[in-house]
Amino acid sequence: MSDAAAHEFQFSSAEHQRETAISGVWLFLATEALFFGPIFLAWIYARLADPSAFDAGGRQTELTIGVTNTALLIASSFAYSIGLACIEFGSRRGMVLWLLIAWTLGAAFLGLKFGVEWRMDLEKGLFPGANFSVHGPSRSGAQLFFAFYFFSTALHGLHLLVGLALLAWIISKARQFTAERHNSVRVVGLYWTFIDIIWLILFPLIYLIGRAS
Amino acid sequence: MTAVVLRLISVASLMFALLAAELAATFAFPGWGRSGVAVIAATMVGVAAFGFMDLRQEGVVVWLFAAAALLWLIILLGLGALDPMTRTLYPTVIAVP
Repeated sequence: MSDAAAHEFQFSSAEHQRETAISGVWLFLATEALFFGPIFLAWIYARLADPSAFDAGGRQTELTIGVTNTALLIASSFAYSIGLACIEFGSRRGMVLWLLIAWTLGAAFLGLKFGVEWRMDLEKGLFPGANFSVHGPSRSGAQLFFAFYFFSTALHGLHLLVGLALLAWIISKARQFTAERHNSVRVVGLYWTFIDIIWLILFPLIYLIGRAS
Repeated sequence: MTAVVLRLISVASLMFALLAAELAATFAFPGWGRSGVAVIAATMVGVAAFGFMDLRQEGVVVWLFAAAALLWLIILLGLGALDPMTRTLYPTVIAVP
């Protein structure tokens, strides 16, 4: 394939198009980092208001599911990176296979988080409100924790859902990608790993800090 | 291809090892406690950014955006946390009529 065929008309070269796409996504990810920033700040504020009560809320979470989900996302980012390497070396079939694995791992995360863990939390009466099951002096701090927990995991889950849709789109358009032309695969990969990074921050805030006393 | 796959396997292995270290810092080494968990989590973020997102190979503009994100977050979290971290809470005395 000639260089002209490997890039759009407004770019001087395929490398110029690649650099523009990648830097554009990184700028978007910078705004996403700022989007999640106030949520992390809310965690700091809520915890410092009453650390022992907030930590008591954290100890009510399902650690086993949290660890499993973290491992799933790490494995998913790994699978996506292998898929990207496959298309860089011209293997479209390899890319589709590894992206399907990445998609399945991401879907498993969502299933565990919202189908199993949230259901267990709701059955235990951990949703903030009049029927909140934690009583005593830790009640208000634990409610603050679970307000953070439900909001942040819902927001992260929404991002993961968008990521799954993007992955499905990449897989459905696999025939368009070649070793020379696969910017979309790289761009979606950056977003996919970013979702992983957000979880790598949420995981200790939700599951570990409260237990690390 | 083999070299890339081997590199990615080592990145993933390092991430799983750091996850194990995070759990160890939480339960097995109470002395490390929360600061140990925070340092390991920050390391995991760095490993993902450099290992899976290939930040190392990108140009100046990408580095600028990544650094800007970090700087904005530091300003947001640093200045935002300054108030609750330095505030002194005094017990409220409720007068009984």
